[in-house]
Amino acid sequence: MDSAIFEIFKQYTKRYAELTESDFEKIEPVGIYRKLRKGQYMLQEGETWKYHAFIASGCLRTFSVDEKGNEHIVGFAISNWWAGDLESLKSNKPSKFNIDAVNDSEVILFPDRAYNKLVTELPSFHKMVITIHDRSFMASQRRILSYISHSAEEKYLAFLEMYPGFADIIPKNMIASFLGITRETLSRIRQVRDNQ
Amino acid sequence: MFKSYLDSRMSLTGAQHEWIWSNCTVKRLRKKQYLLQQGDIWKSHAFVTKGLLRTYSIDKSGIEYVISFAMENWWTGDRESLMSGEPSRFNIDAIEDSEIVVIEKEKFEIICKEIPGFNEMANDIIQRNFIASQIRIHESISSSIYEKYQSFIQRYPSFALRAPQSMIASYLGITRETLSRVRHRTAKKS
Repeated sequence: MDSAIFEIFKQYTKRYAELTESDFEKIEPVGIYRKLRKGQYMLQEGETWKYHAFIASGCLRTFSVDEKGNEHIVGFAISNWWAGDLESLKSNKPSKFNIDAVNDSEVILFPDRAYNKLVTELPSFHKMVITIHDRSFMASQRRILSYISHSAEEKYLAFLEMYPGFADIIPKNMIASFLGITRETLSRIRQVRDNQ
Repeated sequence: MFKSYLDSRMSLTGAQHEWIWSNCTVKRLRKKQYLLQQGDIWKSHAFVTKGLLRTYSIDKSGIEYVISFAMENWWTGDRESLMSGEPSRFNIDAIEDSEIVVIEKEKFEIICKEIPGFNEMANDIIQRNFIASQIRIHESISSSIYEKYQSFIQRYPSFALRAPQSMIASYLGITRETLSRVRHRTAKKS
């Protein structure tokens, strides 16, 4: 694997756990390094997802496409985030989602089986994984609350607060889809904010 | 009930069962009593053995937003407050008379350390919760109100029967009136 990419992962782990050099020696050979060009897919609807994907650079989005061809974005992931479809991974069923690159991106794929082996063998890795799962769950709870309680404008403000940096990277139509509002509504909200 | 739940998830000896049980306390709530109030710090893991509870927030104008329900064989609580040690933004109260098995955070962690099967269960629950909330997020941006209601009654038939309509409307993020209309339409179709 590209050592500069793995270095990003190493730095990242320090937020959650103290992994030793010997831990990293076990982790590094497991990871598969992937480069995605803008628009390229990491996962396509109908495929079964079998990895844990760490984003080293760029930006990915997870979305579904309905019968009318409308895209619905359930999540974004930028550097130092994870992406994938946990539902497909756990159930071993074909995914309902697509994951593609919003910008040129670099990811590390950890195959599920090898990843689970690391979880069993390395207590620090285990600790990190639990913390990440917890944080993902909390973030999604917060997002649900935002959906049911916020106006369109409040949703946008919450998005800016919860995902700092995302608004600069991600095209407006995708942000609108992520928030479940129309492109026009988003423009109006942004205009009002700019005038203030 | 808690014992048979554990048995369905892992194999435990009688002594292990007793030891886990010695770390639990049972809490009984009458309808409308609180398990957690906004501003309090949540420090436990709570398993529902009887009844129905809801987790909700209240905004400045006093409107309630139901984020989740929990009934028999479900876990409840505020994970965010538990992990961060910060005051909770949520309330949890009983919709029906309820009975809850409570395990304090520290004791729960000791059990996780001592019994690998218990630890696996705890991890599995976090992942399932995450998957369930992803499904809910996806529905809230991609489905019509009618589809959301259909999916709710299919996935959680007991909640649909037991929770008051006003709370279901709040959970779905729609008004009481819209829910009535949707229910009407559903009844006509079936």
